[in-house]
Amino acid sequence: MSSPRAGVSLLFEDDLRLALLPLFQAGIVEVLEVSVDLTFDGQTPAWVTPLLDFYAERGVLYAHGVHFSPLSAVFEERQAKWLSDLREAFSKRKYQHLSEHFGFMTVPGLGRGAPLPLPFTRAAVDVGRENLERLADAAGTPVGLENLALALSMRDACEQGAFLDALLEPTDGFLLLDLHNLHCQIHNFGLDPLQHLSRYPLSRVREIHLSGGRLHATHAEPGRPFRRDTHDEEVPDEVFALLELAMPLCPKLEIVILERLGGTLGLETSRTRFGDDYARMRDIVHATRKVES
Amino acid sequence: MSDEREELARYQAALVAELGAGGASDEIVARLRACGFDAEIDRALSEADPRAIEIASLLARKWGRPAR
Repeated sequence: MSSPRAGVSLLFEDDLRLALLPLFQAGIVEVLEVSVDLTFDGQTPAWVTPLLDFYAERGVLYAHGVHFSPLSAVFEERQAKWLSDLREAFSKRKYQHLSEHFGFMTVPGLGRGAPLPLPFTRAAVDVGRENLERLADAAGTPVGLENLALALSMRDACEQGAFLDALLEPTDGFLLLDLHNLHCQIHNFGLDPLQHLSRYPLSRVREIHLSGGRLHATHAEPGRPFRRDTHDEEVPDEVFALLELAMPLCPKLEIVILERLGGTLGLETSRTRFGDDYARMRDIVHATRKVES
Repeated sequence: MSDEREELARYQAALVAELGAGGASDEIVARLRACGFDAEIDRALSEADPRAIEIASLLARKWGRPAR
């Protein structure tokens, strides 16, 4: 294994800035990932630009896309514009790689949507491969996909790893393994953690995400709450355990990123717990480095 | 566009529309299965977890925005 580094995901809300500030001041944010769509309109807050430049100049800035929708069956003008914006963003600043999300968000007539899964079919693989080629062409860096938390069925959950591998194979793309998303599937479908982890193409993992989420009581089955990837809570112990389990199995892992939604850290206690989660994650990353060396 | 890709596009459009329309999970799945999709897609719908459909519907209604 190379020496993975720890970092955070950057969104632009003020409460997240307040939570991140002590981590930046302590010099313990080794890499930075930005939701690159947020930089497309040139309206980034004044404090963001020097931060992005700082990490870019040191070769440790990473881009995460949100709204491209790689598995939409119909390629639309909106996506062509997104690629053009991406190309411009990558010409202005040096990013190490680009990740996007498994699934589709939009269809003709819909400009924004939630990421949704789809069945593992030949047509879906062809669509995804074409869009990964477009992403790779626009970025000029390695490109990858993040596993999705939402699965419509047990089969969806169990096939997503093979589906991702089929999508990523022609471009030699990487897997961004989101461990909270994996934890959601493990919880929602009663899966064995190690067995479910091993369904994913771990040799392709360059990046890991950690975050928190919450249980949602449904009308459909009130006694079986459904876990959602809401990014508004602390990282559960089970996800830290998955990190310890996964790291030795991912030989190409480069970075481990803590994610949190802006607007969810209004209380000082929640910002403190966010910092504690980061320290715990970084300790695991560094401990695994020592074991490997 | 190939027949398979057209079918996938038809499924994606219907899924977004029916999740956005809301209702009980079994009603959403029934409306989708009535569209007569090919066997692979129909099997996926027949196996859908009602909790997942409910959450997907919630997300589709929360985040869905018409194209400008």
